[in-house]
Amino acid sequence: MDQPSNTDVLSELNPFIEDVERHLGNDPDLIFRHVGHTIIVYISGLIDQKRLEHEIIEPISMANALDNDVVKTPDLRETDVFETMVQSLLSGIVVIARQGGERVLLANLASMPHRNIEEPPTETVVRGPREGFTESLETNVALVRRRLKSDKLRMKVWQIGTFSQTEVRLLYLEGVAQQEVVEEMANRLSAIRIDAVLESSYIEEMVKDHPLSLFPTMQNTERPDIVAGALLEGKLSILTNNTPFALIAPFQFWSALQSNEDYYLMYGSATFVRAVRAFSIVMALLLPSLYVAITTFHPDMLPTKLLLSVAAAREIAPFPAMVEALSMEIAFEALREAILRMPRIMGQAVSIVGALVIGQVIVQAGIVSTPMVIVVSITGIASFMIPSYNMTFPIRILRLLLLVLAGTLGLFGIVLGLFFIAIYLTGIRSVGVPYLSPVAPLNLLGLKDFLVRVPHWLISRQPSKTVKKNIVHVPNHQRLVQEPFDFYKLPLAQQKEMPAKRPEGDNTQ
Amino acid sequence: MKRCKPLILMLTVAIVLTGCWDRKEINDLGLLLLTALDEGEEPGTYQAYLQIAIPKKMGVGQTSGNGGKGQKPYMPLLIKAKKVDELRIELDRQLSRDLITTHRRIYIIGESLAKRGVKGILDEISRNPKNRLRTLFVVAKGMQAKTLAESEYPLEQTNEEVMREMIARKMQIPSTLRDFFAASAAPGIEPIMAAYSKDKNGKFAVDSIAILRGYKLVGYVERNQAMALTSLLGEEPFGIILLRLPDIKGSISVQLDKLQVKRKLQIVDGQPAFTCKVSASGRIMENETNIDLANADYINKLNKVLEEEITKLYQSLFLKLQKKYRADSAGLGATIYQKDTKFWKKTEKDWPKMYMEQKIEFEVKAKITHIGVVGAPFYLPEDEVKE
Repeated sequence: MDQPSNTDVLSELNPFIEDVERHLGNDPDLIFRHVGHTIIVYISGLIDQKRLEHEIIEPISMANALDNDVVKTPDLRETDVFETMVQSLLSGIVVIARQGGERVLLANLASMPHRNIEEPPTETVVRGPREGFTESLETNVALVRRRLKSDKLRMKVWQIGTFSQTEVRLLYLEGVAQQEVVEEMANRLSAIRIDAVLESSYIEEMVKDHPLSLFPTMQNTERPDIVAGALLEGKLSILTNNTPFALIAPFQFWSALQSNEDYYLMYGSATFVRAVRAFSIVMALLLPSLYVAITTFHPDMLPTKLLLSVAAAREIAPFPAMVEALSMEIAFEALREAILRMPRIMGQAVSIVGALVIGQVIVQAGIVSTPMVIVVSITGIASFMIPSYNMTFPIRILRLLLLVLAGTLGLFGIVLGLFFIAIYLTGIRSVGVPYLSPVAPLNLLGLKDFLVRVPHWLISRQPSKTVKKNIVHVPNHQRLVQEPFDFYKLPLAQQKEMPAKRPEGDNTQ
Repeated sequence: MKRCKPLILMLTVAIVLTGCWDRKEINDLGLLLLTALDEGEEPGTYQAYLQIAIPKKMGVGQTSGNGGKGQKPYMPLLIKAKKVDELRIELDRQLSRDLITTHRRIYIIGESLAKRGVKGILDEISRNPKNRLRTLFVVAKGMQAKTLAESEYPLEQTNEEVMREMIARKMQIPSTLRDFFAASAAPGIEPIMAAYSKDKNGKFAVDSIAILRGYKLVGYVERNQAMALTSLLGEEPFGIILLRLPDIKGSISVQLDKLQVKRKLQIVDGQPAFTCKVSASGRIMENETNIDLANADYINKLNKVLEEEITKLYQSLFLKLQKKYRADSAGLGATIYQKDTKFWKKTEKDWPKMYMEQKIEFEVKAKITHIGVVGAPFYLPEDEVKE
């Protein structure tokens, strides 16, 4: 065999090296490595150096030839397109080029810096799986796949962002999600033109039905079990690389009442919690405005004793009730934001200052009346009850608007505001599904999982608005036809208690 | 956006120009607790005594500090004027705050004014929608309304609460403004008012009902008769009836739990005939005789006696209403109107006369439901107990 010398190889591969360097710039982390007749190109931080040594360099130098059989990397592809090769390099793929070859080998040794799977801090549960998504898309998809071991789980892939080339995947269950909805979402995703996608909210804003709406029409979650549940309901999920937040559409207003833990609790407890949540959402939206409207416009509506104690507290208050309410609400929002943005260690200090200043000193100084502090704190607690974080924003913003309406027009203003909010909400769609369904339009089947969560065995089919075929969740009414099961009918019990006689009608043997 | 502009403009105009700017801060309101209306010194004039709440002294949480000892939690005001509405405007002149009457729950009329007639003051009350219809409209029996309103009653913060609670929990006389207006508007029934009386020790109680004829006070029915009248008006009884068995010393006291009246009307030869079916039940609260109540025979006998006593009670009530006061407070005329309107149309004019002579039958069914824990009084030795 006539083997060319090393310098020959170098000179022959030089144009290739120059091409690559021209495309990527002569960056210091771009590594060219010669092994025998081949040249190995990679970006140093993105790959697993040990695996490179073990799976590529050692075999090639031993065999002194290049072949698909020689390289030990399991994820191996070939390409002759130069742009694909450059992209692959950037996502942590090792390129192996051979002297005189027309194609290059792409060995996936990507080992991006990443975080371990942890419990998602934004969506904690008492009972339920503790796994959360990470920034790595591969991991996230694996977490979903582990929950849905079905051949119907389908994905469509996009690389979005001219600079970021972020991988975005649309997940759905074929035969469960409506094909039209999948196609609509796919079209919207294909139409995105943006320089970079740094978080899934970039995608959310680009594919939302109502781009200017205050209300979220897509859900975001860090939990794979929520994504799996949504897929089973015929919804679509969009996973984005580099963020733990997955998007789910369609998303209805009432989902603000629902937490994933509802499905892990007993149905009675879940229904109770949902009722409390519904009540507190109403509180979070309306309590300050109701207080202002009733005390300044309709004192007749209060019981006399309550009116007197409110009046006693308001006696020394220097500001009108509405100004008082607005300033306290803004102070509360500021405190909330401050605690969120503070370095975590300082959060406690801020909350102490907040509690001390707002809770005590303001009242003692007579600047704000006690009932107002009570109202604002109840409202605050109520707004923390809303399980989905992005739903808290419209409610907090509308609360202030309603407060102004209540302070100028009284109860009439509140009703006016609610009226317009209701009109607006009935007009919103989320990927074509009405925002207020199953209430408006009314869908009785959907109401089974609305304020009341009926037991799993009673939900015989999924909410039908997004579903093509009704798939059976649990065989219908399986609990209701179950045989009575009695300890005394067990053979063991009979042996011990009454060896000879058995109760009549016994058919266990 | 083009379509939005007129909408925004209209909304702004609606908010700025409407008459809805009736916002009043709560510390600019004067809460009227009660009104006591009397005849003025000169004939034909009025004198009003009002109590306006001082929230700081009434408020629950903040009583510490300037809540001085002995200070009343209200500010009393005394106003004199010739007309009822003049009273209001005089009051507003004296008051630094806007008066709200929505929380007034007691409106007391002095006896002398009630005798003169309450017709004149009703219009002012009924015209203003801010007067709550659940305000109790009551008479101060045998005294000025102001005297009653000023009475000491340390258990509650204010007297209006005392009076309201008395009617709400004890003798439930339907005496709110709503009842009064309803009775005034309906044909064949005269309105009544609860009456508070005061004893020598200065404590007051609601024990009688003021009977009005033509909006003028004509007299009172008291205690058990008042209880019978409230039962005719559909309310719960509050009172005891003493029973005596023949040949047995001492009496047995029964508290009535139920006293319900069903009226039946028959028109015979152009004359109305009333039958009142009374069903009553009660429990024995005291036994000062020596009989053993566990014996069912005694209970049967007592039931009979109770029925007789109740019949007597109703008869005496109607005797008083028909002959003495000539007031159809129980609404017999209204019963005719409801059951036979045509007949009522014919007899409406003659009714006041007919009413005086009207005969009423009573069919009483009474039952003692509880005898208490012991049969005979426990202190009696066994040989003295009559079984």
